[in-house]
Amino acid sequence: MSKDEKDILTGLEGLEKMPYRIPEGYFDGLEARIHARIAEKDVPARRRPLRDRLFRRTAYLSAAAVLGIIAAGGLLMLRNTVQTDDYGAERYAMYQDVDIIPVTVPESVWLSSYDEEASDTLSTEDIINYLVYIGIEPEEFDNE
Amino acid sequence: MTDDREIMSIYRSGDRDRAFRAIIESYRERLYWHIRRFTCSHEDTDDLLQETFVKIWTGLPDFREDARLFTWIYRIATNETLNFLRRKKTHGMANAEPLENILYRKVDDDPYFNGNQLQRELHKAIQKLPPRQKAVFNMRYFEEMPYNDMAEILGVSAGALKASYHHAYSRIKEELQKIF
Repeated sequence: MSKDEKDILTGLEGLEKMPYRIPEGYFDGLEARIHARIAEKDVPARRRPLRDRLFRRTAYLSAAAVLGIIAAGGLLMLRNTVQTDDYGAERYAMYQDVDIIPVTVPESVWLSSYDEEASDTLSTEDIINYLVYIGIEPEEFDNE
Repeated sequence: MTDDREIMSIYRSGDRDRAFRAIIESYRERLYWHIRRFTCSHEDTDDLLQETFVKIWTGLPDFREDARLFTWIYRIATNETLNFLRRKKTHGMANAEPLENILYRKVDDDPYFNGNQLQRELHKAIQKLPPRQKAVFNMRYFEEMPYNDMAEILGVSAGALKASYHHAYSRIKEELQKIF
């Protein structure tokens, strides 16, 4: 922005001056305050007392021991629950089939996995068993 | 006041304390005003100024002179101040009060203000700018700093700074023209 063009920011004398006072003597004591702050910040960098260091080391060791116990327990449980046979392999193979069969004909997925005899039609015995199962007395369905 | 070349030759001679004293003497007032334009508070400025010099002291052994002393020092002061404003902004979000409102009010409440109404409104308008745009405006308008120096300090290209300054200038002018 050219200062030759006169506008509200350039037209008035002294607008660029800071309109604030500084407390009297502020800069005189500044150097001492800075050095005091530097000295103060140097304190935490010093070596901690032996007792503190030992306490910290014990705390780390305790935490490591607890973590070790948890990890060992977890491994033991895992070892007891892992199946060594091919459990689920058959089902996994079926899902693989599902992936390669087009989703536009979903019934082909299920029909292909059924036993043909079982999925054909319901026998009279199946219907009777079902009616008994849902609580209908044999006398009632004999009348139907 | 000792110039930067002299300060660096004192430092290279191994007298780190004397070099640091020379830096404080040479930069304290400039940095005070540089920081104060952002914070609108003497107390915050005092704290940030001391912190800036502490950082300069701890960073001096790593200062490799690939940058100029002046831009290195200003970069520390500017980063320190922008970080302070960022922290304040986060705190303001927790209190549901925008930082701009807090700073805007500080201009009115500042017991050390001794300017006229136009100056007051100018400083209030500056507080409405985003922090980095505020930095650009302050460095250019008040300190008349060359764009290349500002680019070194802020790590932005001179072209981007010109555009940013132009934008900030127009916004402030617009704000003031609403009142005067």
